[in-house]
Amino acid sequence: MSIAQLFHGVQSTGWANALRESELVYPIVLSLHLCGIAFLGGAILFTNLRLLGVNLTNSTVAETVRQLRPWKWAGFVVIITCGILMASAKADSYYPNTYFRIKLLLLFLTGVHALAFRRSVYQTRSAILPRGARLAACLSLALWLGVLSMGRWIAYYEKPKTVSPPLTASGSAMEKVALQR
Amino acid sequence: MLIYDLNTNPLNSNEWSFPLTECFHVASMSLCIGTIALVDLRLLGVGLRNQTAAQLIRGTELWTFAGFSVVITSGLLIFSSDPLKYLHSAPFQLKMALLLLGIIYNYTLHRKVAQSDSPPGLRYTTAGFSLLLWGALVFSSIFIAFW
Repeated sequence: MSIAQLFHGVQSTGWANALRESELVYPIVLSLHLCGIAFLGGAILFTNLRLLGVNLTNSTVAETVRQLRPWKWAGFVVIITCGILMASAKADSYYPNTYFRIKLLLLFLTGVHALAFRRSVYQTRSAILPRGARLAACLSLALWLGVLSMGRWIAYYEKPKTVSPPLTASGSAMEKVALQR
Repeated sequence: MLIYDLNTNPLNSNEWSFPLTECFHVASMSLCIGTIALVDLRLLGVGLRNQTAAQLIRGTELWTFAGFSVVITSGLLIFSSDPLKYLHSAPFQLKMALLLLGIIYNYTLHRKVAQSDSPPGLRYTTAGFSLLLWGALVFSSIFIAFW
């Protein structure tokens, strides 16, 4: 089974059909997705501001991360659940969508980022900022802004049209002759 | 009579401008509501507990204000892409009412409670109302496109 078929299978399930056709549930799921983003924005920004040494300097990095962790996870769970629901409802059109693919890649990279800086940065218990903290913060902000932008751009994807040779009078004389044959 | 040709607005004629404006709108919305939510969590006694609510207000207020500035500017641009459609949309009217209420609430009651030594009941109610209000605003925004 190809991935395209898998996506089609997901879209054909009863609940995906129901969600796609519902005039009320789909916008509610999208609203919850956005509420999660709204909720998460502050937590991500302030974790990174701590890493940059700009704010919350009376707590260590590890403490800040620990205090915000459950709320970040709560936000993620809401966002990802709603995201999967919406992508499933329109899986056929999401599959070829370049922006959707870039978004998934960037999401994967946020996971890599979290693991890569876990020990060296996020578990810091001293008041002195570890090396790489600034890099981690900038990368995190860039990645999340990328995820957000690609998410918005999914709605603007247009399938490339298959290009056929022009049959109009434009082009060189030789081309016109070639077309007449 | 003043005639406004929608096609002269770059947001309607340029392929990139509208989605890009929306990205600014969503990111700054998240900045704005997200920083207020940090204060709300603290008022509920969770989250960034090494700070007092008053300290968190001081730490977040600049970011919240920056968020408000960008979200309103980009919102005005989006509004300009089709003013009549928005003016006649019930969810949009609700959104504007909630926004006005939200801004007033955030800079008066919400701020006052966070900066003073208020009893727990008042703190919880203030935070709960804030979260509900901003959540309702997000819902009304999405429903503009689905009404």
